[in-house]
Amino acid sequence: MTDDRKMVEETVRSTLVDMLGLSTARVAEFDDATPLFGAIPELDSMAVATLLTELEDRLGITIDDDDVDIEAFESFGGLVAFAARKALG
Amino acid sequence: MRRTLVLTMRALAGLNIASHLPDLPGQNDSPVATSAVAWDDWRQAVAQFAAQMPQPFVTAAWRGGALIDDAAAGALGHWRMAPAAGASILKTMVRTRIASEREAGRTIGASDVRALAMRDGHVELAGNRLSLAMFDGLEQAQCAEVERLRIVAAADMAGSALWLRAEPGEDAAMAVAMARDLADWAVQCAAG
Repeated sequence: MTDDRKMVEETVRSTLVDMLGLSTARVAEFDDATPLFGAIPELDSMAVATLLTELEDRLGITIDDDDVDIEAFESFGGLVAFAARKALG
Repeated sequence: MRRTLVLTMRALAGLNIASHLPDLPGQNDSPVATSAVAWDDWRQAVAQFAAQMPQPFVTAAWRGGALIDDAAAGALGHWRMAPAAGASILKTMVRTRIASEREAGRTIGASDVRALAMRDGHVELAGNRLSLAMFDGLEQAQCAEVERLRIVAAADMAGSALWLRAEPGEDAAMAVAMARDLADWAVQCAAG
């Protein structure tokens, strides 16, 4: 994994810690297959709205809403891949 | 979040500092409907509120509050936690509308949401009915540059970003840390 991708992954982790009120240790255990949207009750479609804006601010990116596929949020790996695509091209 | 603010005010009282938490027009117990309020009404309300404040005083603002704290003329100083641009706050609110429309099987974009506000004079976003004037005012709002400004993050206050939470609860330890920091800042501002 490149340093850039690692940075994106850590940003996604810390955003989830802040949003979901989970411990850093618990979120550190998330791997690519960890289910998110649909599996974590706090992460509903309203929370996804907050998550998108927070990722924009923390990664310095712009996310076009037409570009958001909710499937990207179904697993931790999917979310990191989505954020990395936006941040790293 | 509001409960944590009230805990912060109690902790300030314990430090012999009086504090006031205004309800802006359209918020909480305000007799005015949210949909009848424009962005400038909030700035005017802050200015009026500040004019009635016992002197001297400092302002404390969280998130979007930092967009209107400069309207408090006569403040000795300002304290802001995690100040947010109006466009960012509005964008999140617009996204919640897009998400709920999607759940209802309708696909709309951000520009459609503003078009609804133009058509009806107001639009429902995340449970708030915003007037077009509020929508546009919030989108343009930036944190003003002010003198004697202290900016803090939740992590500086042994706390977490409660405003990001779906279920914020309250954070008593953070409230105490914020009260201490605010009290220290107020003393520094008063000392010149």
